[in-house]
Amino acid sequence: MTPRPKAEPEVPAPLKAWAVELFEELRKQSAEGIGISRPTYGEGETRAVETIAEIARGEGLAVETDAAANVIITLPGENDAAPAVACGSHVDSVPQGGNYDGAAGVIAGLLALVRAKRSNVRPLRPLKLFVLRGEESAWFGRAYIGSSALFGGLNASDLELRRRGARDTLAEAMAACGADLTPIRAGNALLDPSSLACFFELHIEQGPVMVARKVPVGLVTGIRGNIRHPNAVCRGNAGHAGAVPRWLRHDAVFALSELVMRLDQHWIILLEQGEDLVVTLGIVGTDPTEHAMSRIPGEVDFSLEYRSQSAETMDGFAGILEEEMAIVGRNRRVAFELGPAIPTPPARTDAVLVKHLAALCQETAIPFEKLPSGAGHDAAVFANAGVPTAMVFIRNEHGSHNPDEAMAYDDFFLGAQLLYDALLTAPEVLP
Amino acid sequence: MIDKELAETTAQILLDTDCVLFRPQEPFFFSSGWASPVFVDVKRLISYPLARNTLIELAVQKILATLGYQAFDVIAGGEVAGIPFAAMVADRLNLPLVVVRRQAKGYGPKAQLEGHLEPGKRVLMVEDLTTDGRTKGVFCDGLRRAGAHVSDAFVIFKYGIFDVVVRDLDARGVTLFSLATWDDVIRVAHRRGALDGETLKKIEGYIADPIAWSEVHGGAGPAAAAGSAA
Repeated sequence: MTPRPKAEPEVPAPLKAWAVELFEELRKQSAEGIGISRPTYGEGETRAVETIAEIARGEGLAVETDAAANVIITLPGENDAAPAVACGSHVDSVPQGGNYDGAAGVIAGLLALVRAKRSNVRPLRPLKLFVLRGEESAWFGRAYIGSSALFGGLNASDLELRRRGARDTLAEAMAACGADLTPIRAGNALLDPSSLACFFELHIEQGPVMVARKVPVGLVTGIRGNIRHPNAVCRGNAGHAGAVPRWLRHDAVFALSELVMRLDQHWIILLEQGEDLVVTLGIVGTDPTEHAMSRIPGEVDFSLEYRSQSAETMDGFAGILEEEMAIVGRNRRVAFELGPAIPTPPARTDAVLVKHLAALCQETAIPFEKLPSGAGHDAAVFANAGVPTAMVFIRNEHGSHNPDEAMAYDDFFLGAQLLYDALLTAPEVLP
Repeated sequence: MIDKELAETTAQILLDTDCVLFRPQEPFFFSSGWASPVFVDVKRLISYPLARNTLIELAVQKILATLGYQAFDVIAGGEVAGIPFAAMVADRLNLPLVVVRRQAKGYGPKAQLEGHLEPGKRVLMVEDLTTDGRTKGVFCDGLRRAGAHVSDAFVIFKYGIFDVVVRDLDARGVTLFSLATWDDVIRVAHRRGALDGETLKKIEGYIADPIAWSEVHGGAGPAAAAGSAA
């Protein structure tokens, strides 16, 4: 075993200033209203990807673009044929989102590669940074588009998804960003999972736990999976609000409401039993072109998603859903159609890597805690493709997916230090 | 039996029938948002006749010792878990029984009740357990709308934890008393060797400051506590 390179205990001051400047550059170029917007396979995302690629080239790092228009930045290793040690995150954002969700992981990765390059540290294995596109589901109703494409996980119906509030399909948007759709349509992997020894993703925490626990750095034990039905509908019959008696109604809104409250009762019980589950109907609406106060709603559209760390719990909930839709549908004379399900399986992070990260934190006296990730991440796609994966969370106030996310740079640089150490030393613990 | 004996026998019955679960690593979540390393399901008891009968005897002793023999006219049980326990206690004491729903059916003074209740009767609420007492407040209001006098509520098990947060029963002038609390169950479990040192330490940390424990395990925290108290 080659001895570990003597690491500096923290990110050098000039590189800290460099990273802060890069955050500010990204913020400026994607500022919109009170937040920032980097639409998936859109202009803002492309600008951010190009900014990162340009800087990497300027530092003398190898930059390539894959068929899904993700950018991959490489620093060669001593043993360049060995599987690479990789990291990465995404650059897109939700509309009016925050600057750190995704970008923190990309900048921490670039910082690590640039730091090694500038100080002539030669890693044992090649280091790769994946600058990923299309992680946020807010734009096309599907998450992890760039990372899924890496492993052949996008299908034809995904490519036909339409952008929210616009006409272009995902295929059109990807092509406009320079993607080559032929291998993606064919379901071909763009990357052999065995070409990566491991994958690290640094990301801001999106829940309130780390602020409450007063720790700057979190090590993720598992990532919630989810099942999403973006286009569900409850169909009954429209009617006159005054003339139709209760027992003759096929009221879609009363039916959906009853379904939701029944699901909520199951949810309460499952939580009391210690299962992990969250359920959301983010979109509910009657058709504004025909709805009226005095009209019994004949149809209501809704979205439904549920998440859990346990595939078993998600299966169980899918069963509950079917059963309750049948009961409510019969009692209220309506039909529920969930439409296509978009599944993302839950992922476990690699126990060896998590243990290694914990050891590195102890060595460098970084306070940390282990915790599960409630939100989904590209890292889950890597883990489920068979790449040993770990995630580093950075404390962040006010959650994410909003402009008020607040990551302290001090916390970020602790995480960036950990990522740097992990990238250089991971080969010591990998088979 | 003295109070401590009643409490410890109750704890023993709950532990013997697996009504108590300890899981400090992955918490349980209550509907009010509190995360907890411990969970108790008193409802299970109804399927264990020997344990159930003994427990109801203890309940009757506790009720009579606390309130005396001329303090109430009717027993009320809340939907769902309170019903079997209230029914058994009413049966032992040979008193009328009413059932209170979580939600009124329609409107009118008795919309939340099943059974017959004369206005002016003194009603003792009997329930399986209370976590933070929110539902008990709803039951109490339902009984009072029907004209009942409600001054006391008995539960088999009282968390003795989140009732510092929600004072719905206090606010209504209702006194809550119980056979056992977490202190009793943990003391007995420890004595029986059912908890290893680390688990015990974690649970003691929880009991010392349940609100902080809940928050750092992803549940509700001091902000929620302040909001409820207000």
